[in-house]
Amino acid sequence: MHRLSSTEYNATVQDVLGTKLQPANDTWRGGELAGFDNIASVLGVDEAQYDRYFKAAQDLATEVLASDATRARVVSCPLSDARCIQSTIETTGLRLFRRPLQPAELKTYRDVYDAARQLGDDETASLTLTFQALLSSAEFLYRVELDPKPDATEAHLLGSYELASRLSYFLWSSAPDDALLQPAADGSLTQPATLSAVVDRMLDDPKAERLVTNFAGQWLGAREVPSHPAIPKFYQWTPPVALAASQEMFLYFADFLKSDRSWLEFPTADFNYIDGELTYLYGIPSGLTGAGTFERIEYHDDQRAGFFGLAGFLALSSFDRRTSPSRRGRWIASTLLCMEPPPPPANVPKLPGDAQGPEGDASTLDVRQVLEEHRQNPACANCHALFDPYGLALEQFDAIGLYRATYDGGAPINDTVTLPRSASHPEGVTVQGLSGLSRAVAADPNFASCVVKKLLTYGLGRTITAADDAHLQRVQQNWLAEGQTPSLRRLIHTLTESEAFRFRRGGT
Amino acid sequence: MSRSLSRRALLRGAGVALSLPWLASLAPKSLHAQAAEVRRRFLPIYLPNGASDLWLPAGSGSGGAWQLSSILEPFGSSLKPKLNVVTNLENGSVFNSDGSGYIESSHGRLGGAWLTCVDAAAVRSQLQRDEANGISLDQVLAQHGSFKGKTPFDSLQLGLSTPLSNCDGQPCSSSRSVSWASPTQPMYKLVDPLEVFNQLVGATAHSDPSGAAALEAQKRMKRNKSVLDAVLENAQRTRAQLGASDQQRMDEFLESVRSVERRVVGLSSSMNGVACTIPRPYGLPSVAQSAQAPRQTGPTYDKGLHADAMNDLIAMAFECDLSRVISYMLEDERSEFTYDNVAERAFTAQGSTPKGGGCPEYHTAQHEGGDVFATITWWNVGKVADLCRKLDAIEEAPGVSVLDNCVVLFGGCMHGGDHQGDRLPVALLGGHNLGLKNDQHVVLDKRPLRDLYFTLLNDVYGLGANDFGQNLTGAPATRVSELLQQG
Repeated sequence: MHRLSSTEYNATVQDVLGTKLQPANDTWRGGELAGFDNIASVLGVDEAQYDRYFKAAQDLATEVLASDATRARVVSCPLSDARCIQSTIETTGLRLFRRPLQPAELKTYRDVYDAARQLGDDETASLTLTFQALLSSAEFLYRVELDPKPDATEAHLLGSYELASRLSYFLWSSAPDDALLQPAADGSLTQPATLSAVVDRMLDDPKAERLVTNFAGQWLGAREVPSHPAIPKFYQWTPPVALAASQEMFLYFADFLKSDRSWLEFPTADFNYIDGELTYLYGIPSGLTGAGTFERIEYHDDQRAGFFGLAGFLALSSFDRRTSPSRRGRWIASTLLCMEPPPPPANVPKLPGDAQGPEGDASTLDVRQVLEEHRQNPACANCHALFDPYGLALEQFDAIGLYRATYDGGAPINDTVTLPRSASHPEGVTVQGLSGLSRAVAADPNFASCVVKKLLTYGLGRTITAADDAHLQRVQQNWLAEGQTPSLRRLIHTLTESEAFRFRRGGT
Repeated sequence: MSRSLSRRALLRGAGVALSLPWLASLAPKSLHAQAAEVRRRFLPIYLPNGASDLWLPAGSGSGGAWQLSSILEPFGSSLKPKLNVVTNLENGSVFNSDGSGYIESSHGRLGGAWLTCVDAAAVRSQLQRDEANGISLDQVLAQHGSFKGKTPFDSLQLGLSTPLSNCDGQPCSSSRSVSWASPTQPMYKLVDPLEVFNQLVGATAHSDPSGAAALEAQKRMKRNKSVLDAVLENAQRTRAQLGASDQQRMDEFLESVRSVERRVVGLSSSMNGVACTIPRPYGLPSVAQSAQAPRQTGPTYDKGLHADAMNDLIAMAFECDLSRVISYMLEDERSEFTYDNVAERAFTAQGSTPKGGGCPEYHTAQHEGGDVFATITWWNVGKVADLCRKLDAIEEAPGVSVLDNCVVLFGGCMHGGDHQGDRLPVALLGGHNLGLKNDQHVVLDKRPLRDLYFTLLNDVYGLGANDFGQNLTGAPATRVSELLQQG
């Protein structure tokens, strides 16, 4: 059972009921794990949360039937006709439960209608109460996948409606639409050709934007960029600039989702999405003014290319007052390469200058030198060697992503580093600066496998364990097979066709 | 001071007395008080991110032998007589067999252990769950026969956290919920004062006197019942087709539905009534209105008002006897709220003076230490002091206030900027009528936090527990007799 996250709940009622009400907010019970807020195991429910559901159901049902526009979507016959009540409960039930109601269920909800009529409520009020019951039900609030043999633990093929829900919550963060319920109804969705066509249609639908905001927004941190703080010294980091930097990350990712570009170009592709705000931040000549109108440009004189050149990433991986090669490096290692270094030991000393009030003076330090001193301590060195080099290679970009030739005090920047060993470079490889780093990361096999793992975690809404290794490897092999461009779109196809996606492990 | 309309009316400037159904008897309050048992209450208040080093009081012992520190100064001479500061408690022995205070990741793991004294990560791996912990102290009480069913809410979980906190690599429930009803059921807190108010008043709202309104209320109850009956019936049907772990999920759902049902169809209206008045929700800030949760004080959000409103609501819940166990988080562990509404102060060991300029984001302040961190700790202490004064102003029996019948456990999971799980900031307020000594600075030889909880469980609440939490050093739980009138 997979309780809808707040995002999914709001998207679902919007898509199914056509309402503008968005009842779920940040005070609703959520939970994140493995970097995502849609992980079923930490999405529990309690009295307070059910109370919110119960009240929201009442508000939604009332609003939907009160306004003509939304009412027409769910009621298409005169309510005075008894058959109309039945068919209305049936169709709305199908959309809300994402599967047809069983006869016994139909009766359960029909009883709600009849009870209301007996209390003297009119047809609309009685139907409102019935909708409230549907919207308060576990079968709506959770995505339920049945286990025909409750005690068996071997994997079994999902039903076609269950598969439709997996697809729609993965790609749209929402319920299946009528066009998706169709191949679920006739069972054709479980055929590879139909599934593939369905996935293409879904990725081309505007609702796939939610995959960008919810998957990339959380994985790459783009959602956090607008609230990322910087001290006043970085006066260029205004709220509109921070917002634009976040938008740019979304657009950059979406470019890979919409095109057939290889995912392996994600670290290196030389284009930006800029608006007037970012023009100013990057110093890119353009006619753009103001915020919010973005243009895709390829401008090669700005020393930046690829994901690592995006201001949003560069700021997010820095402190508010200075760059932190350790933080940036660790971000790259854990986020893009799925390598989790162990936590730091006790009593880590502060870098000099960090404790000197909000202005600090750390930005004038040669951070590289300070880190090297820190690494004289062997206990620290072993660990830092696993991620610092990724960050040190990007030292020519300051804490909000501006290019700098030297540190503030005039000290030169040394961005030549030897990266940790990897499968592609068992001895480690020496690279320089952003361009060297981005090519090395793109070539690292962990970069390709990491996106598979992140996408599978998000797509299934559960943590990935050692038991999934074989699935992951198979998906990766199919995706990276010779003769095909390993695009993000192709990965999504490969993933949705995989056993991990179409089968359900009992007991999970 | 006795409970009265005028006192409550002052509260919001627009208070209004709602008469509760069970008040119809108009029994004189003194009779009420005589008849009533002692209402034992527990109010753990969580201070995130540890405390400034300036928390430590000067001197030790009782009465004149110790003085409030500059951080604890807001308690003042009015509350010092009802205060115990307990120094040298540690929770590191939950994680380390040598009892050391070091633990990583400290916010997420120490935060999760604050009220449970177990290592959540160990429980998770034992149960093979993504999210698990021990049962927290407040829930051990709330589930015990001496609390359960005595009030409309066996317990409440409240908090002031608005932005979603960083979870420090742990399941977020570890740093966002201090209350755990079972090893797999974290109790999420309510942060919206309006929502809290509606819940509290909803629990008392089966009161309508007569006529058409009563009929309408009856109908509303029947409608609610019909909806929830359908929900329960269908969920039971679905449950039969689920695998084992999903059945557990469904049971959790069913239990939540039944809890709501008890309230919305009026099954809980047979509570013992208490004379009290309820403030009108006038001016209660709603934090749920804005699309994005406030990360700092701004035109639509004021952390100070938020805290004041929650203080009023906690006082009301106790005064009206709507609950006797409330856990309250001043912020989530590893909070990154920006306290720009709080003017920075210059601190010495003796006191503090305004310095000007707002405080930065909490977690950064913790690491910077110094005046910004001290100021935020001090501000939080001030809000706790306000609440304790409110509780102390509600007289429950001659010479006995709600505070005297309540143990306020105020503290955090780590020492301070060093992230260590020893030398924890711990203060106890009130509880004098429940057997606690008061007006002490108790300096212990390093002792596990669970010893304090063990003492509260047995010697204050009389539960007869053999143990609480875990201690990897192997030492058994022992009583902290320094805190007890009958040591």
